[in-house]
Amino acid sequence: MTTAQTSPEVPKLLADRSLPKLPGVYRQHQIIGVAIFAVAACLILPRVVTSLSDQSLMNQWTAYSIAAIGFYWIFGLAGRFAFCQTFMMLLGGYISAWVTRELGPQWFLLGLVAAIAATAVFAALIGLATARTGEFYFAIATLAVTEVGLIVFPKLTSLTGADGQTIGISPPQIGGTVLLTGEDVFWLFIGLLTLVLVVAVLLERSPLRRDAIAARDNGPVARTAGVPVVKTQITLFALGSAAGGLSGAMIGHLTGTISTDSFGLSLSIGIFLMLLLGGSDSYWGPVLGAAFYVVIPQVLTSLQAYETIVYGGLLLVVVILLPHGLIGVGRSVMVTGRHLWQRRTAASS
Amino acid sequence: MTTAPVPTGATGLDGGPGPALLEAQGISVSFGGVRAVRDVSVTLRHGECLGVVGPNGSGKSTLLNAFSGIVEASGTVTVAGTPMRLGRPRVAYDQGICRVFQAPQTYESLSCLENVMMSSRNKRWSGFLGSMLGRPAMRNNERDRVERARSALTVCGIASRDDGPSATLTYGQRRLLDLARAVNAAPRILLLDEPSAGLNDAETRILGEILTNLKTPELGIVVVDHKIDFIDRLSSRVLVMEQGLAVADGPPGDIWKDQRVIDAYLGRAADSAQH
Repeated sequence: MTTAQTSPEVPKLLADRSLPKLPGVYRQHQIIGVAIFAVAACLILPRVVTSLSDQSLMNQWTAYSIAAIGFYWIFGLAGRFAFCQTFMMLLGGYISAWVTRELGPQWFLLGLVAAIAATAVFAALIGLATARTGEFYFAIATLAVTEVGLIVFPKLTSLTGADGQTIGISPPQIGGTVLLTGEDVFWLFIGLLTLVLVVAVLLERSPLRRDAIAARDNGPVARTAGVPVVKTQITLFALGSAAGGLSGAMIGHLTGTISTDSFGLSLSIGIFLMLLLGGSDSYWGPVLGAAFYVVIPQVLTSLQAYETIVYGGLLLVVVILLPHGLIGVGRSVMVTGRHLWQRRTAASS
Repeated sequence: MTTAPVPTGATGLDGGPGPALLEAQGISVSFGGVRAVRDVSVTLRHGECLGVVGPNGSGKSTLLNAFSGIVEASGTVTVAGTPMRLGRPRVAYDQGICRVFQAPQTYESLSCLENVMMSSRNKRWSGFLGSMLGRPAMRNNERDRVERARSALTVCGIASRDDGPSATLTYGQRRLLDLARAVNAAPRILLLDEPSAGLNDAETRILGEILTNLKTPELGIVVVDHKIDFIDRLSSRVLVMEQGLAVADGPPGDIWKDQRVIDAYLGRAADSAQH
């Protein structure tokens, strides 16, 4: 009787008890990127940005970044063009201001939570009502929501104040500590931005991202493959709107005032520009775009009369020449650098 | 695979009539004033592969669209005895009807693996709250989905592409990726719309082998194609359509001798040549 020859693959196969590897997107160390960003921002920005006006801009940047990341979830990831992000910011601002006015400034964090919850629920209702509409009609419907909001809010005086202007909103307060200075507020706001970025990372490394891209790129085929297209799009619309609500609440407590004038159509377009400038295919795009959006007009103030033209021209150049936004430039530089490095190491070996 | 139990005595698998898996009665589809499919009734049995042929515009793809819920249709469809609401892709998916489209429908922003994983029937911990709050459970279920998707890629002969970008696939590989996505969804009924279109002879042969390997006593396949030899090799029964109507239905050997089929395919050419 001859001894059967065992294939060398068999022992390896029997010994291999490893779990199946997850898709590549799970193995990217995005969370480390967020940690590096947060640490760098905490170490550098408070030392560089010292004047009161610049600190105010810096805090605006964090708030706008959160609103723009929300818009990235709605438009960049889920592919739905919503024109109501500023409406959500306004609603979030009013809700948070109302909570701290009614319950006291010490309930600041509850105000933020209420703003997030209210905008998420409201967005989910809009999402359900417009679930079967095409992209164009969804955009128009959300634009209508914003316009109706701008008319209705001034009439809800018990919530929004006279003429839709809430003034005297208390500054952020945590655990009995009132955050009065720009730097104090920055620590809170950069913490909130980091939290939102962590949510963005977890979202990128989840089945929801895959479903969202499937729904965005080819909804009909995604439906036949069992992807819950409507549910996914409503979820991301609610999530993105909640980020808008949080952003609005932050701005309210930062500036002490919320009014319909500051959250009109121009800011809607501004948020779209933040995403477009930064790059609409990454959650880092909105953060970069918001910085660009906040800082550039300040830099260009010296040009006074030409400010609008130069600003518009810059936007035009970026949009035409950089279809993937500023983040795309960074990505190209990294890829080129990696190629050069690989070529150099290959040549030296 | 999630499949319906096969009743005792089922033959199917090209060995004769098994129990009905899909029964469609009086299916009609209209686009405005145009009736693309007119009162078509067809039965697909467990383990059977039904070929659908006909000239361009005869309503073959539209019939598949009606079965997969992509278009609104009238008539009745039952899957393994359960009535199915028409015009709802998700309902069709839930009933086990999976579709491969005429043109490859690859998601280039996703990897090959992700393209396949999306059709998984395991949806546990895949929503927002599951993804945020139940990370370990979500990851375990993702591993399950990965394992299954890798099997589907292997069955369809493109396992080597796995986690690579789908944007770099050749046309033929994209077709196989679509097939893997459908296979991953554990179909009871697989609808293939011109799967060999755009493939050369070697690729068509490989596709035929893959589809032959997929055949099980539970799975029903409906394949629309223009390559008659491909249909002949694969199908146990052929449905011929012309101008939205089902004009013939039977074994391939009989179908090609049927005068109505000859008229549908060749008649007009012969007529016009005579005139």
